[in-house]
Amino acid sequence: MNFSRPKNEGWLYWLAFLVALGFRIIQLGASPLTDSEATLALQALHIAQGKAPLLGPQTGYILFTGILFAVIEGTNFMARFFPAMIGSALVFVPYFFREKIKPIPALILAFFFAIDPGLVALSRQANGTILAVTFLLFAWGMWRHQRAISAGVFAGLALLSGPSFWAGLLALGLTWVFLQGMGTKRMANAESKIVDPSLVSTSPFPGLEYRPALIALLVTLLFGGTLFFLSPNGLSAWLSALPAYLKGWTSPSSMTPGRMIVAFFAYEPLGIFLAVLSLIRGYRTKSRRILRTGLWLGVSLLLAIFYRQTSELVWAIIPLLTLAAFELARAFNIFAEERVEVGVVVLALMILLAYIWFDVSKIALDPSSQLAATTLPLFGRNIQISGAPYVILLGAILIIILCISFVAFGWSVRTAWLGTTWAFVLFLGVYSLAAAWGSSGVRSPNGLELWTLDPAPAQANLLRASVDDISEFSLGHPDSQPVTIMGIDSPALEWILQNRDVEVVSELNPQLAPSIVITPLMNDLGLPSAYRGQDFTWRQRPLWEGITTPDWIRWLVFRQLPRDNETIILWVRDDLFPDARETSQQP
Amino acid sequence: MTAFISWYVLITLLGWLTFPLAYYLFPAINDRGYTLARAFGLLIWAYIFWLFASLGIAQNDVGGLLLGLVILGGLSIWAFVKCQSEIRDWLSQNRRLILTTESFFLIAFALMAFVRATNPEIFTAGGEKWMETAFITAILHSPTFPPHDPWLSGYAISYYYFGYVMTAMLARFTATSASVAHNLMLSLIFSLSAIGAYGLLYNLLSAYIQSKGRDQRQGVLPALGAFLAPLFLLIVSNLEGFFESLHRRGLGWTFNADGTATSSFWHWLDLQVLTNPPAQPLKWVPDQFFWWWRASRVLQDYDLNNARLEVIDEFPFFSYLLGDLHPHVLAMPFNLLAIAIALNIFFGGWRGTMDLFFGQLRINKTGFFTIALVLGGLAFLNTWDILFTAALIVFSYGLAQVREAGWSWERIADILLLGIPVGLAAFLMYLPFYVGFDSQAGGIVPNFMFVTRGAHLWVMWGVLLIPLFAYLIYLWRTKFPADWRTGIFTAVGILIVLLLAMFVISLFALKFKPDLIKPVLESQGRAVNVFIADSMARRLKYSGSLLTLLALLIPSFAFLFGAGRFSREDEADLQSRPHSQSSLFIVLLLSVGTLLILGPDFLYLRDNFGYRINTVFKFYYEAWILLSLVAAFAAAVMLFELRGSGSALYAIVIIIVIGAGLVYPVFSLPNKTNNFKADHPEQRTLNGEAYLANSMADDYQAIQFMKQLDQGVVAEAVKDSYSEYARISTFTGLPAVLGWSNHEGQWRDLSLQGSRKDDLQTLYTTPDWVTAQEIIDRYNIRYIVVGNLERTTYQVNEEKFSRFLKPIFQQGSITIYEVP
Repeated sequence: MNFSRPKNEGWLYWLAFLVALGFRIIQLGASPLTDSEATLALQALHIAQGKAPLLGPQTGYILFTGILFAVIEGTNFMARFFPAMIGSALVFVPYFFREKIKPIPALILAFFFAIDPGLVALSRQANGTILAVTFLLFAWGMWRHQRAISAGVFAGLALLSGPSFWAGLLALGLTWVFLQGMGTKRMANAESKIVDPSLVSTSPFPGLEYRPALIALLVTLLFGGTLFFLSPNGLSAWLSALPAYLKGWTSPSSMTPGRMIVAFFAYEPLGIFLAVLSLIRGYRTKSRRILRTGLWLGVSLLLAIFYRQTSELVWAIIPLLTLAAFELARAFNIFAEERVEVGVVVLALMILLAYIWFDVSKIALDPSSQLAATTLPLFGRNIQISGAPYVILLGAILIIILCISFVAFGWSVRTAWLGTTWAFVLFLGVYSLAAAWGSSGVRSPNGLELWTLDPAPAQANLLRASVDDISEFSLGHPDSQPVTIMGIDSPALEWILQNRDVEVVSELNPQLAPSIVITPLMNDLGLPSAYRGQDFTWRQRPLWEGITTPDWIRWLVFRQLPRDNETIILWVRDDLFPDARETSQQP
Repeated sequence: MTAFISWYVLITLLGWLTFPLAYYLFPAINDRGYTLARAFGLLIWAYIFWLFASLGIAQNDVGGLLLGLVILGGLSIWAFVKCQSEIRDWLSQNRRLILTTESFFLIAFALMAFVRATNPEIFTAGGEKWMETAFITAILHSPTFPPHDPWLSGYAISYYYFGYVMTAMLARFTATSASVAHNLMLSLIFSLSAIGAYGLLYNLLSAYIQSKGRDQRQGVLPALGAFLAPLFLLIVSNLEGFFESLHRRGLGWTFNADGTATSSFWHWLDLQVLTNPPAQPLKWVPDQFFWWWRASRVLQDYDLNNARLEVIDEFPFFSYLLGDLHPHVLAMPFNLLAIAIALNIFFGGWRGTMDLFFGQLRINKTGFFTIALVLGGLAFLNTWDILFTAALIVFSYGLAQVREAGWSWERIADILLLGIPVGLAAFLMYLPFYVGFDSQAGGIVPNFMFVTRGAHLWVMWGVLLIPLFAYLIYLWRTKFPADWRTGIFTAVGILIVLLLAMFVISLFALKFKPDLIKPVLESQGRAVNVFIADSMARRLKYSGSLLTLLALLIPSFAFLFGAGRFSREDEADLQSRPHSQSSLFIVLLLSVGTLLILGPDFLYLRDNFGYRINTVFKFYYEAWILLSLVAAFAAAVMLFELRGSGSALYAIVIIIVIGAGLVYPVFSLPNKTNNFKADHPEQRTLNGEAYLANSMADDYQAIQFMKQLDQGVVAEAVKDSYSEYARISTFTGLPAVLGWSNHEGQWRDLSLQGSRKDDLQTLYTTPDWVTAQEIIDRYNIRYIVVGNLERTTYQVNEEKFSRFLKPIFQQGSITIYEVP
């Protein structure tokens, strides 16, 4: 196996970075911020405005984004810019581990990081999740390279990134503890046998000068955590990430473990396919590198599933893609004389896989009707078959298995393995690219992605445009009219109206007649002036309780699920409309 | 149960986290601060959190608390790295002490939590639990520090609230409600005080044993004898309970045929209610409702016209029985910590020098700032306590200097050189507290006519006085170095100074502030000379108290000066004597404790009450802490040292004394806790507000609802203190326009209340919405409560609220309106 350093390695990493950046930057601000994103973005905006808000646990994101808002402006794009950049920089992490995982798998891993749907989705969110991942892995990488100060700085930045840091640290810590236990047990069993010391010394943090690292960490926390003392309360805010993470265990989200597994399989099929092959190989060859990474994957996956937040799956994606990179690196090793055979197998399987996907798409289009009986002309007779697409799907899968088996037994196992690997890599690679594109929110703005718990507001831009129009009609400037929000707890709503004079109240003062009022669905404001109202669809929550398997298939293909729409009303005082003013001016 | 466990785990981990730092900071005492590590850790943690929150560095949330813990942990890790091998050795050599401390803490904490669970109610009557709960909830609800005043919207708390910060911290960290935290904090303070007192006496006794040339770890005396300290401090009570029992049994009464009863003894003794004949049938166990309250009112002050004024003479067991989480209780473990600091200095800890620009301090910087941290914390916990703890620390320092360099007038300079800078440092370290603190103390004023009677003094202190006198006799008999002449001169000199101070202050007041004197004279109907003559005559009549205290002070001072003089002449000889430095420190405690009892007979701190009620209360409480430790040491040492018939006699006396002091706890505890039975066993709870669900069901539901609301000023009815008024602000932490106005008047200038009381009445009664809205705007009121309490207090015109405001909560008789 050739694990030599590839040509132009550095440039290839930069290429991976550009690919990652492309996936993360394109139309970054197109999708409105969700409530959870807006909560943090509003805090950053207040920092930029020189206020002293109470900071959430994702201090790093808030403070650094606050700088962007102060220097440039508070837009959706800028709110997501910092995570997008840092998420793109994740591709450089394998570079620091290339002695450990070998140069070619490291490079493959960089590209995996660039296009992975989960990482793309999390990098396009205005929060600190991807910061925690990138900074923690960078800290680890720097530590491995004995760069104490850099390690301390990145560890400090990781600590500032929020609760995800603790999730990652817990997964790594537990893995390390298990490895220690296994190493000790093996030593005990070995008795007089000589044991490889690396089995016992499985510390992810080999020897390093602690003092400079610690000083760098403290300086980063002190200056980064307070934005150079402009926001001193950041010094304690980052520590609330730990209780925030622990609270997630005691107050789990509405996500079920089942849905977490669905999400993992739906977004990471390529990684899972290759990782499974890698684990089988690792088990057979007793590869410590693979088995350790597999243990890390298992620990991270279990923690994420039981923690019940899809964003925490990111800590399983890292070892998953690492295993996948190991396996794919092996598949590059094709001899010249077997390329044709492998190509034939790949082509055949690709055709079958494409056929399967079309069949799945057909089921997804109308899942319920596919269960009805269909008449198929077979053997000169018309045969009634219930759920024909499902039968065809099963048949196609069977044919794939048979094909692979025939090639393996009749031709060579190696050809079957290489052909299968590349066919699935190509097929699932295309799927992953599509999934990454979809999870970026660009492909289908209203598509339901599982990477956030709270969906993006459906008609945020339309609502803001309407408010701007009314303001412009009445005062000649889109931002001038004050807005009163009554009875709606939605930071996303406050965010889209950020440049205006916004007041959030729980009740309206019956003696006042504010110009613009946004309320939940209601018939009458009960205010002394006349108002005209327009309804908007705001948050769309999936109806998880009633979702069936066909619904999931439909979601897999089209990212659509039955949803419950929350309607809000934009009320505008009657006299602000041009037609009302014209009427009142008539004699 | 979950809350109890989480508090136990948290405070235990905190203690372990702090121990390396305590080990480093207490080099001269044998337990190296282990027994006080929990209290020390809590103090440091709370200080860091409070300071950072006050400076805007820490947020008032779990993150802020963790920041404090991280810094404390960092300091402790640093200390551990510095002396890890020593710490390991100490831990392996002191397993018995560690196990004893840990077991004792758990048992004490669990027992007191059980007691609290049998009577957890945060009642309004007979205490100030509502005030304490209001502070805790307000701190929990304050987004920034200083925390807002729950009973005067727009203002920060103006009170020594550090203990409530600690309570709120533990509550937030363990996700415990304020009403549960109130009871758990009391249990925690009890248990921290128990192990703190145990540790102090352990240190004194082990040093005593070491001075005898024995290995202190092998001795039974320190390990077992030290239990006498928590017994005397926390359980043993004054003799009022003993007399209650005698009275209930009818002893000393002559029952006449006509059904009346007479007793010259009980009238002479003059204890509240006990001058009345006992009810029939006679029995040993007092059973009158609230009888145990009277133990805190032993002293009877009469003016010259024989009008009685209430004096508080609380002691620790009463405090825990009552269940109030008041500053004097909250400060108890930290007072013990300050005593440990004094002991550490006295035993030669923190040797070094510190150059100040006006002189050289013979103590290192670590010690200096530790003293400032603890003293400053005590001023913030219970301002009164800084006086006696500071005195104790600087006198310990002075005595240590005498031991090092012999007596000279330079020692006075040494004391001042430590006292003034350390006081300044303690002030500066807690500066944010003083910025917002509006003390109502009006200076030191003379006390002419109120004198403690000897009989009352003995009822109050008899349980401790007997071991103290026995110990002084023992020291005299065993030829403890004494300078009797200086002792007598000093004691009498102090007496003369106190008398002179009375007259000088009075003269100044007559000349410069006659408005302070005239009302007193007018109320007594006497001219100045007659007033003074009558007062002095009363002093002569009630001289028993003074004589008793002089009998303590003279030998105490004689021994203190004797040891000082002796060390100058021949220090080695003193070291070789059987009397250890522990004995000398004990005599110092005794001197300071006695002066604390003596002081309020001559001077007191002027406050809203206008007489010495609070000064006696606070000084006596501090004196109990000191004298209980002395009594425990005395009892342990004498039981250990005496041989033959003397030992047996002393043992009998001590048993009788302790037995008399235990009558009160034995009889009062079942009475207060209804024989440890809740009405239903399943109702046993630590939630102090649970009872409201039955007694004020609608209000209780409203409180639960309002706990979830955003910050906003509450309008609710206002009337009397010690009543259900201010129930919403108390249990939610939302600031009221005005709560218990009488208490607010004690905390800050009364004029700051302005017309709030009347405005609230207008708000509720006016039919005019414009008038109501003007009041709403003036106080920025967000929530208006209309319940039974408002309806019975005012002629509520609710129509305007229901017309212009929308109710956000309505159940039964109560409605909460929110102002848009």
